[in-house]
Amino acid sequence: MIKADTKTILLADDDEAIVDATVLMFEVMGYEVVHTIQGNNVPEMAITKQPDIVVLDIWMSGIDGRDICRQIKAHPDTRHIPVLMISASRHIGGSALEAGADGFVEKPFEMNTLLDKVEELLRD
Amino acid sequence: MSTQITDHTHFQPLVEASPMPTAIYSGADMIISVANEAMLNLWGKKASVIGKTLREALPELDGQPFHDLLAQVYTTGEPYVAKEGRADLVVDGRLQSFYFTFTYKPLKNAEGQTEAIINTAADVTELVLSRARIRETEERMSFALQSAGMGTWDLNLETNEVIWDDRCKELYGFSKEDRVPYQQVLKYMHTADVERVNRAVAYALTPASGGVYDIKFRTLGADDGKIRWLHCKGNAYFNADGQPYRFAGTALDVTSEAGARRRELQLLSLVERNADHMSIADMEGNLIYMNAAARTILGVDEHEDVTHYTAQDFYQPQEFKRVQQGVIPQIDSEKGWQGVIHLMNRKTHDVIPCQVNYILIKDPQTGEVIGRGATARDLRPELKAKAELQRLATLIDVSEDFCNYCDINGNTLYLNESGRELIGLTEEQYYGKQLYEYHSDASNRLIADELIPQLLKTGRWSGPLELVHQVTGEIIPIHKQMFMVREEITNEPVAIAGIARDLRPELNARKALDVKNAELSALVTEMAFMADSVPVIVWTSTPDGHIDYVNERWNQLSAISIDNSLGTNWTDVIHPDDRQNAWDAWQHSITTGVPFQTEYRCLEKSGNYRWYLVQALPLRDSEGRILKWYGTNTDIQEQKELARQKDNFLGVASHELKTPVTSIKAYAQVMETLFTRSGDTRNAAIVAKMDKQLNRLTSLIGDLLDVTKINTGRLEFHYSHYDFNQMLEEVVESVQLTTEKHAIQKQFKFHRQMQGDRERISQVITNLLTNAIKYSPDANRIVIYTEDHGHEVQLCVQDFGIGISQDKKDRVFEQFYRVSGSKEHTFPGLGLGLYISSEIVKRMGGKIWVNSVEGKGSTFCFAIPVEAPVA
Repeated sequence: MIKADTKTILLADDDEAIVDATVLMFEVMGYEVVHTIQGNNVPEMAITKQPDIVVLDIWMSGIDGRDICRQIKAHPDTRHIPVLMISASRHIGGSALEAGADGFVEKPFEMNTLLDKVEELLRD
Repeated sequence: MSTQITDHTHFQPLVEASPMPTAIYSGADMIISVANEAMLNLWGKKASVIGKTLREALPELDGQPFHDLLAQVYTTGEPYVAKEGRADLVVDGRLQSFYFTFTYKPLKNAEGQTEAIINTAADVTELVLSRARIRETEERMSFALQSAGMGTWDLNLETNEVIWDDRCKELYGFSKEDRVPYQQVLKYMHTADVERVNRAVAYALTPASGGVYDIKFRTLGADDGKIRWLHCKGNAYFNADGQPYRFAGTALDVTSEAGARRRELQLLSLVERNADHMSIADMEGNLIYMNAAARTILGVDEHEDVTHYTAQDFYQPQEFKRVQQGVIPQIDSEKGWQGVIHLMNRKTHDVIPCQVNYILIKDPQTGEVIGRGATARDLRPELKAKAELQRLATLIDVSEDFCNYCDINGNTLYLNESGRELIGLTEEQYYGKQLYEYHSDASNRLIADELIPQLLKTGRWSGPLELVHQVTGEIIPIHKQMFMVREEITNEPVAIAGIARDLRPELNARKALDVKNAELSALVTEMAFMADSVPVIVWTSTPDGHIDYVNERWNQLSAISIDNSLGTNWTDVIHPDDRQNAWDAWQHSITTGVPFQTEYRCLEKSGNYRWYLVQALPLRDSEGRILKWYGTNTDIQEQKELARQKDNFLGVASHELKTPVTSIKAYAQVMETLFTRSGDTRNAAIVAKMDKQLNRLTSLIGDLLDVTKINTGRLEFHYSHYDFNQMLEEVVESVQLTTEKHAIQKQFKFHRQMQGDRERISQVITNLLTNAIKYSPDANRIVIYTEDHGHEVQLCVQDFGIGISQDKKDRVFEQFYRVSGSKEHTFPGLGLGLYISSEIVKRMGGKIWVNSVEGKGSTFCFAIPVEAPVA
């Protein structure tokens, strides 16, 4: 099923149901998804897996997604990877961009909105 | 020295050769032994007289002193010298007087006895006569000058000495013996004239002036101190080089002349400045003179020539005719005419009633009438004063106060109506009534012992007295003011005037007030007890906001005592973060009178702060004036904590609620995609409906979260620069997607960049648009428009729906408020949207409002600054 140009998404969210549903969503749309519910694994995974994009929740148990984003953007091996942050807090988007994120989508999200944003970031 | 001579003829050749008349008389008989030609000529005799005795030769000398003088010289041997002695000689046949300077010298023999006398004589007749003539001339001149009161003076310009005649010295007040240098002259000149005289002298001493000097000035007598007016005339004389060498002239005392002129000027000045109108006209009525007062009254300018005017210019036609025909002919040549005439100001045409006095003016020489003079007094002030007096009298007549007027013995001369009524006297009864008759015994003693003496001393008295009603005998307490009236010229006391106020109503009112106060005082005690027994803090404040009572509860709770919290000290225990708001709210209430309600933290005895709800209401009098504020402080610490817990809970809950919604929504959308891909449109539609309901749920959760943040002060803003219209287009597009019925019409007039929180503003606009759709179910359009107001952008959303009634308009922005009424159930929602919007707009430094007509629709607007407020 996976074609040569299939894009890989690294998805991190501490809620298993959200991870499950979102992975389903991306896979239905033909992406390959690597996921974790442990926020602090993400920088390491990004280095080893070299995904095409990271989709990162902000409020994860005990961890601030914005710090993770800063680490990705600070590391020479991962700083080129676009990061899209997601959160249930509507007004946190600004601070996500300040932390170096390339985009922000509010939860709960419209599937099209999320996919459009991912495609846009993959294009750039 | 004596000479020894025997024969005197020896001298003859010597004597004859002398040009000076010389003769020798020999012996005691005085025989003319020698007489030269000159002497013979002098005598007017021939040589034949030689050899004769002198008596024979000149018989006319008898009775003259010469024989005796010669005899004396002959006897004593002492020579005699006479200067300008007079001798009457017969010359040319008539006796003439001559003057000689002559000597009789004795010629003595060897024994020293006088043998002869040698007589030399010089004829000085011409000299003596001319000198006499000069003296006569001088005397005549001096007499003339004296009779003219004129003195002469001569200033020697080399020595600067003034040569005066006696008269002149007299004019300056010097004595005849004084010698006066010019500088001293100036010293006795009137100081006001010195400068002028110096100038005149200096001018006279320049050739250009021709040397003419003519001036009048005053002197201050050096010896007598008198002021004299001198008229000095003189001339300076110049040498060939144009240098003045002599300056002389006359001085005339013109004191009386100057006095007359001055009197004339004083008189004219008196007339000119007289307060009354004064004018002179000729018999035809042509004006000749008008003084300043007349010019003012009649409207003639200060320097205008009055001779252009005739009397007619200053009357109204009818009055002119009356004066012309009825007054002028009646002016008596001795007594004149007095009466009232109405003059007219020629500028304003005001008619001025005047008391006029006409007199006829006669030529002092011929007695012929040459004009008439008028003095006129403007009667308006008098008439006004009279009218005012009349009004004053009326005022006293109708005054509600007791007004009386007694002669110095206390006999009542006047008592106004209120006075008569107060003491029960009729108009016929009061006159002559003794003031002691209508005052109480106590008052009468006071009047006699204290009041009258003080009136005599200071002219006035005021204080309480008692009147006695003349019918009922009732004692009436009054407050009286009395004045001593004195005769204007002699200052003798002539009458006593008084005004009195009936004190009964005041006393009654005071009594009633005392009763009321006692009742109130009891009530206050009761209230204070009640206030102390309630669990809340109760306080009162003066209308200007000063706390004047706090109940006992305060002492049990507060960190400071009641006494230390009065006035404005209560703010000391307010939490610093709440103090300014609390103070502002209180000031707002006491200035506007709106009920006071605020919440703040207050320092407890324990050192902790507790939350209080503080409320106060104003107590007003019947006219709406605030008498007092009544307030309470209610402990709301527990409610506050509960609210905080609730907010925390809601915050956590709404975030937690979103998490499952996110996954459900994601599953639903995946399902919809999969159904659509498999061509199962029916199931795809069902899942789409489910998704829409999830959106509603999301929106409600979002609102709850925002309200929580607002209430806990955690609403965050992220300012950035953004394109306002681009944001609008996005919002309108997304809202347009939710409705098929309404067309959203855009009218954008603001086309600039904004600085602000793009997300929050989107949220507000979204809210206004969705509300507009929600509350206009029967309409088919919504209008959104913007205006550029410079530093602000204004945005309005207009709908054509159910509208809002006037009384509820301002409440729509309150938390949980929902448009109520019969249709309430029709419109779902938590009632949080407008509250959130209004909070966001306010936080951005803007304002939000609504205009609405019930049944026609509403227009919601907000205006926010284009630039972010400086934090």
